[in-house]
Amino acid sequence: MSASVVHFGGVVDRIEGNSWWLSNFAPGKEAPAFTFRIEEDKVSITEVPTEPFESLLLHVRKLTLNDGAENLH
Amino acid sequence: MKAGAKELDQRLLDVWYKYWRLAFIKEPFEVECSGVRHVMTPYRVYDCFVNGELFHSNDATHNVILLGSATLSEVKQSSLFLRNVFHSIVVNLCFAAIGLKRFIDNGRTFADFPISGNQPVTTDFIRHRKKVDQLDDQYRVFSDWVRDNGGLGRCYWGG
Repeated sequence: MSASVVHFGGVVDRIEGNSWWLSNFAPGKEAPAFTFRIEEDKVSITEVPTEPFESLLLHVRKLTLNDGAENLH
Repeated sequence: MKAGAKELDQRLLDVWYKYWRLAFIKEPFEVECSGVRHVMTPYRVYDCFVNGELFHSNDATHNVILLGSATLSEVKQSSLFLRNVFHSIVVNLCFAAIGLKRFIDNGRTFADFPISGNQPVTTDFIRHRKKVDQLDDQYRVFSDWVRDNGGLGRCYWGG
């Protein structure tokens, strides 16, 4: 099996074009830490917008489904 | 296809696997759900969310880890702590993929590799790429610990 470099590059380009990625993780941005907080009885985490995150996750799955993650099994 | 291209692709693919492993295996940790201790790796968190919650497998173990019980009688919110870990893993994988693409764009070489203009984490993944042989051994130790402490075999580092 050979890796498709063109496909890989295309997926990474879409990751870098994701709106949440652009506003938080692009070069020059100060990326947020992922923080878990417990204050009194209230638990909170670093807010992540659902729609752009799920779009990003779909791109990540495209990369890892190419037998990459399965190699950990 | 140019002569040698297939070999280069294979090497690339090997590197690719290493990147996912770097992002998925480190660091193992424990969570306690309904009185049962679970040894987790970032990969197991990713697996629980992607193959459990997001694709609704209704897998009993996924349910226990994410929601606290094996069977669901009502809609519940998954563990915020694990959700936070999940977000972090996905971002790490993106950084790893970007790092690998930078490596490809530079002609699959570290010679004259531009360091500036990238997030430091992206550069870290590129730096780790040069140490994967040593990291294999290091992460095998991680995996042995996970296995010996009740982690699932599917999270194992070695072959």
